[in-house]
Amino acid sequence: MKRTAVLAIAAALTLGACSSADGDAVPVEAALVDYSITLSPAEVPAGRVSFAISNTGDLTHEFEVLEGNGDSITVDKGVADTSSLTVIDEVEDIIPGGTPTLTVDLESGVYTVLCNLPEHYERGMVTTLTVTP
Amino acid sequence: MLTTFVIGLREGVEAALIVGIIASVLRRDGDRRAFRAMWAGVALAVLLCIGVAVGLRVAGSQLPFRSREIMEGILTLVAAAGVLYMVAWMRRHAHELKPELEEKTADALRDGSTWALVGLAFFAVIREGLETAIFLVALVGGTANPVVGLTGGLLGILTAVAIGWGIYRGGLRFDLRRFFRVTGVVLVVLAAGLVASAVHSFAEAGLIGFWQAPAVDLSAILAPGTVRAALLTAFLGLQPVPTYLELAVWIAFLVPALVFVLSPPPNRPTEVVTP
Repeated sequence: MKRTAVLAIAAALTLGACSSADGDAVPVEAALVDYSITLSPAEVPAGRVSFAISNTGDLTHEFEVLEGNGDSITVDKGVADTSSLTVIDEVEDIIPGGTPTLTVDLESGVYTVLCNLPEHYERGMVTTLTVTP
Repeated sequence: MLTTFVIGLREGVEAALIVGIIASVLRRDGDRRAFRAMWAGVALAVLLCIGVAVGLRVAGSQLPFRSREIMEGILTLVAAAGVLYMVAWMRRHAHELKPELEEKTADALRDGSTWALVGLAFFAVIREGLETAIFLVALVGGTANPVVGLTGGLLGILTAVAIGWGIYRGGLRFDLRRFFRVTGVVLVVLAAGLVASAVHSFAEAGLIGFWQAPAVDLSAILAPGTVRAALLTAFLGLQPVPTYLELAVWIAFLVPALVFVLSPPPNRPTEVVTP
């Protein structure tokens, strides 16, 4: 009983440490323009990934990271229906010249990165990130 | 500059409307203490927002997406409940707040309900301000041109404050019954938008999964990045392309609420005047 408690506390501490340390994140540059998203590199090992986003377009954009490949996405009234995918995280209101960062923990698999402001997706603001084990 | 101006305006307008209306009510109520407490609350809320935003920035951390959306959804629902309470309060007290009765009613109104309004003003600023402060703080070091972006954002907020100030002056000048009728309509539209936004947040967090297809494309009117879109989005609380669920909730809330606000207030008991 006591041992379980100690383990639980240790686990909690480890998790806490994991989610607060940013140093070991793999950097990915995410370039947003009107209308495309380019990730470099587009393939990273599983773990903490830090997107250095940079909007060099003339419009405000957003940056959504979704789990799963985007093949099942359909467009209706200018927005992508992403209900078949799970949202990992997002940054909204990225103004022209904006350079926010977004740090997420990713398991191995395929991820879809897109901007879902009306019509931005269908004009080409979508790309894929591959996370290897 | 225009982009951040629009964002500042969009985020600030809702809180400015609520605070402006509450300020004019408390002023007419004649309860000086509550009026002053409201401003202290608003100032405290602004400072808290800036403090939290700077703190998060320094710590370099952010709330996980799901908890962020769920927290936002809950805060938004609480705000909607607060706004509804305010509408009901104004309806009930409209006749007591006539300027000529100011002195006599001050005592009667100095109860818990006045302080609930003070609390709502604080809450309205916290709700909108936190997000705005985080956005503005992120501009520093997060944009190629932080000064221009910040100036735009602050000018947007100032414009929102000016709108709130206009409402406050209007509330002092105009016949209260009419003022409450008009602001009541504004407030229930605002509350309906808040409930729809809460639905949007819960859907983003994955808690709600039905009727998520886009219902209608309003992006021609609500094109992100324009002043008109900022005011309409803040006021209506609708996404540029709302889902069927968001639209249904918005209408289901708005219609009965409008009927309630526009129906004549309950008659007050006739006073017996003894010479």
